Amino acid sequence: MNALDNENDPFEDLFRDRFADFESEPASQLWNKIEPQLPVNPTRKYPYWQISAVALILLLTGWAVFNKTQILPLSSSIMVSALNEEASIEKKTGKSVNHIEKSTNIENKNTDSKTLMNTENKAITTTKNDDESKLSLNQLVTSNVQKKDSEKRILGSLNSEDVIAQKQIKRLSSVVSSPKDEEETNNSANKLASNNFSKKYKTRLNLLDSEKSNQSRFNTDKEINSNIFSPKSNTNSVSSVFNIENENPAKAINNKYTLTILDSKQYGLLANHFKKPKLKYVFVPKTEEYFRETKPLDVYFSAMPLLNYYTITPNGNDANYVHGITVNDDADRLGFYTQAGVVFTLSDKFKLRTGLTFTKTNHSINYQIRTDSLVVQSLDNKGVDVSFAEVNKTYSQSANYLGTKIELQYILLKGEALSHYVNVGVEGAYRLNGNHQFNGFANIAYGVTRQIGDNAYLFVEPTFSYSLNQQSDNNAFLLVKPNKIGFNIGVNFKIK
Amino acid sequence: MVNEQELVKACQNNDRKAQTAFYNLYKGKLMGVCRRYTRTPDEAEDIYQEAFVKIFNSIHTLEKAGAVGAWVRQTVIRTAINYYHANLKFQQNTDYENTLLSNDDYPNLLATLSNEELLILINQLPDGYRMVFNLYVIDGYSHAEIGEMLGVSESTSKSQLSRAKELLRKQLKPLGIISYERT
Repeated sequence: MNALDNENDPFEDLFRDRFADFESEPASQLWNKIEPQLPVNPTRKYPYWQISAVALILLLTGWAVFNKTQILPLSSSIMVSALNEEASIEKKTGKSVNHIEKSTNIENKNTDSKTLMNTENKAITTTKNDDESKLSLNQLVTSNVQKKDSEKRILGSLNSEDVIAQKQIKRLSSVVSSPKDEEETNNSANKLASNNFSKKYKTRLNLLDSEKSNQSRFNTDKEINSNIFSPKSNTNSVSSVFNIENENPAKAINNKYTLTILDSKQYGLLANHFKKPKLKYVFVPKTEEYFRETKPLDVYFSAMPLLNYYTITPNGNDANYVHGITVNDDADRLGFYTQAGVVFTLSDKFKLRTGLTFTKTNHSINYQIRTDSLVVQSLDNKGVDVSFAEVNKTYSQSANYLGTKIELQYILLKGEALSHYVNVGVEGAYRLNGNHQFNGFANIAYGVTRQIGDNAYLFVEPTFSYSLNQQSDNNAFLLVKPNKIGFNIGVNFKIK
Repeated sequence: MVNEQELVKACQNNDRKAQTAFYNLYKGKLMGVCRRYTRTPDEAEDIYQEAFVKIFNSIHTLEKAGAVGAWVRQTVIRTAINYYHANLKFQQNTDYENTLLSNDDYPNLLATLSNEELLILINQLPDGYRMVFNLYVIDGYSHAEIGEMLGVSESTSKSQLSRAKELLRKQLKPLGIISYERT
């Protein structure tokens, strides 16, 4: 086009002058008709609902996995033993209390046993005489009577032990053949018996102490409870529980601070009211669950060659101009896909697999455009030339994606050698080069695993990956869904 | 005012605000072109809409943003030519004699005619004549280019231009306009 060549005729000049820059105001509603037909920014074509769905799934999975890690169920055996222990302590205490009360009644009528008492017992008897007049609700007195009764019972049993010991001595002496040695033997037997006695007595005394402590603990518990639940004396009593502990126990008993004999093993009754804090004494290793035989955690990695299968749509209003679309059937369609991640075993039938993916795909699509106003060349910047021939175009690119995926695995068959499963999941992939597009994929796969070692499984997994959104070439003439199909091969490792 | 090249770049990114600004920038000029190439305002509007949609859909192909003015004009012209081709078989030869103006009150100088009045003369030219007249006289294409664009030979383009001018003169003559010298 060269307008200068056409400026010979004055008649033409007149029209050229008039109309070269002629403008006419279009009707205002025309823009409203044009606007809906305009292309929108490809970056806004993201399928927000799909992204939201993927995010939601990831979030829920993360939450579920996190919860599973945190709330470890207590081992039932530990729980049972803990409860039994607690129950037995309670039972024992209750029993001994009953027994003591019962014995107290019997005590009043029993006079024979009193004669067997030693000096210590006499003192108690004195107390008992006082008690007889006011054997009543006085707690301190009751406590003394109970103490005395306990000691008496133990002494009674000691007497019988003594008889047994003497019987043993007699038996021993009869075994000895020489009559000369009889006396000596008797002596030694007596010594043995007396050792035996002192040992047993000591043991019984210990038992006595322990019963004392049981009794006092009962009181202690009562006191603690009353202290804890009655705000009045709260401060003093509670502080005394913890402060006077290291002081003289006798003094503490005299001052009714019988709580001082509490030690770390005697928390049973207290724990009745504080069951939750007690749980912290139960140690269950946090990670144990995942490493049990039934719920292993696997790591996996895999690689797969893939072939792209495109769904191609000519873009919008240009449908009339874009035609002759063909996909190059050579190696350009080949790509590569690799992934690594972890597999959570949810149940016998279900596993959850999540990880990172890297994809390299290649596109090469030929198409033709009718050149109506589409190809413009400006050779010298003075004019613009238009080419009217059909133009062959190629949409060719190599894209790298980094993505994350989550898949649910359903195990169809679980054999000795092979297991079969179906994988369904979603994947979000961000394009690292070019226009940094986000692509969503729905993945479906059928897989077969085979154990190849103690803790390793090989899997092969034909996979189809359906693109949830479209890509657009630079000219926006094509809308392409880069679906892919591949043969995934990988290894699972069980973590121990 | 936003730099025209920046506007083009924004349009290439399909920025809706830029598209609106671009439309407002070129709407008058492009409607002017459409009016010249068509017989009626309705046809002009059809071409106008189609052309703008094309422009925004293919603005990515524009390599030199500085040539955008010429490019949009070309796009509209090409759209008009497509329209002409598409409707060629439905067109009938116009009875030229009936289209002659017969208003004796017209002044005797072409310069005194308004653009709209002159536009009516152009609009009333037979489609083929009108296309060649516009392409050659106003838009400056060579006969070779016009022949290629319209799918006719170069000599056909020349003869159609000659007939178009003759027809215009005939239409102007009754109006007393015989002098075409520039004023």
